[in-house]
Amino acid sequence: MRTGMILTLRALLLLTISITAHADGPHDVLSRYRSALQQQDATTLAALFRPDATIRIVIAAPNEEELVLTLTRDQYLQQLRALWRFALSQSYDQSDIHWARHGTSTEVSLRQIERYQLFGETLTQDAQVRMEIGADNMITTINVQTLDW
Amino acid sequence: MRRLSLALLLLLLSNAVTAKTICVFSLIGAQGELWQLMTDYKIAAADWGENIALRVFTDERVAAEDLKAGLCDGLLMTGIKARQFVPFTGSIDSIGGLHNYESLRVIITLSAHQKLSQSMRHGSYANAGIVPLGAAYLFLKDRHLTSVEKIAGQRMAVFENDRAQILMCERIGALPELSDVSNFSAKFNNGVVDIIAAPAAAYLPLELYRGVGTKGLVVNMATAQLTMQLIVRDEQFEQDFMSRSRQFFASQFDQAMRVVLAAEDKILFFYPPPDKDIRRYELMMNESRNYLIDQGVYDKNMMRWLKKARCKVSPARAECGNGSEF
Repeated sequence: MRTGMILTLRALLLLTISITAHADGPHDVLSRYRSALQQQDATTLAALFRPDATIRIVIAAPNEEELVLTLTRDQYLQQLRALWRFALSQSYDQSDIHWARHGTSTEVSLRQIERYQLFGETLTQDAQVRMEIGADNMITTINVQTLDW
Repeated sequence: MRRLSLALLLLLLSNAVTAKTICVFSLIGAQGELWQLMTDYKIAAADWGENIALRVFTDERVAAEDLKAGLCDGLLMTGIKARQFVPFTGSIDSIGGLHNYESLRVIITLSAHQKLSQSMRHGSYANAGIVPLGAAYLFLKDRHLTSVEKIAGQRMAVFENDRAQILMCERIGALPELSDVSNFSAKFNNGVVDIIAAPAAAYLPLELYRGVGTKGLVVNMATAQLTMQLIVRDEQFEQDFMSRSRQFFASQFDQAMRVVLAAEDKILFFYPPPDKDIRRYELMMNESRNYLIDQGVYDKNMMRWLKKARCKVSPARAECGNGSEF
């Protein structure tokens, strides 16, 4: 009985350590990224990215050639700050989250629906997002495929 | 007592008479960062023994006429406007002339150096100082019309006092809509034109975000570095004052850049050119610059200095090893 309890406690301890380590990893990065977006916290967001991270945005529109833009981390953050300044009632919903390991980095793909009011219009941006997180648990790249709003 | 009052009155009148009038072009009048800069300048000038009275104009054309008429001893104006008075420094604001703020810092620092003092004078006028206004960016109403080819055929506001803009507009195939600083933003916001070039400083005060709307884009690539320049009537000021004045303005670079960068931080849909168009944009700037030099729009001496500044800051640029003059 006593041995069984000790084994159970050890298992619980190992599980706790495992969860804690996992929470500091890529899952935690995504969690903090999502939280920072919701709270419009540019400082926390900046700390999640490598300084040389790139954000590639592909905007598709009917009867138009795709618009492919590559932003630096600073340009991406500037755009978020500007959007938060102008937009009203902004919300982010993420779903269909999938994880994959690529060597020492982790890739997470998800669907992100962003809704906001801007200059009297109600806009919805439906995007497929692929985020690469390095072994240092920092975001190295984000690829966004979105329909034009 | 009467004699004392009379003496005081004469002293006050004497100061008023000997005060030099520096006119200031400011779209928003006697307020804001620019006016604060000139207020600081007035205080500094007093330390140098020069009594300055400031006079504000919201219409740059009227202000320039007053300078020509001798009603202003100096005028703080845009670099584009300054080109007609001192072509050398007025060419700093050239299309494709300087690619970033560090190269602009090099030029402004150089302009305050004694060895360029002769070049800072032209006829009756002299440049007494330069301060950055921020890069000029293209504002577009349709983000799907960002390629150089698609810009052709669109209507673009160009300043009627800037031959460079008119020529460049025609060269890239856009349709020029003659405008001035007082009406170009309204034309953009109201859809009269599809494209304008403007610094970030204009974004909020002139509500350019309305013109960009939800479908437009601001191209995050400098087409030119814009400046404000103090042009004075040369015979009104001693050379020592001129030297101090240029150094004063040069020392304000970092503070001015803080204002510029704060304004740029507020621009929505501020994106670099599309990946496939970046090289075309760079070529367009370089070709436009060389074309405008050939047309005699820009001072060749300054254009040589600008190339040196570009290459000092970014020696890996292709032009820095190709032996080109400009």
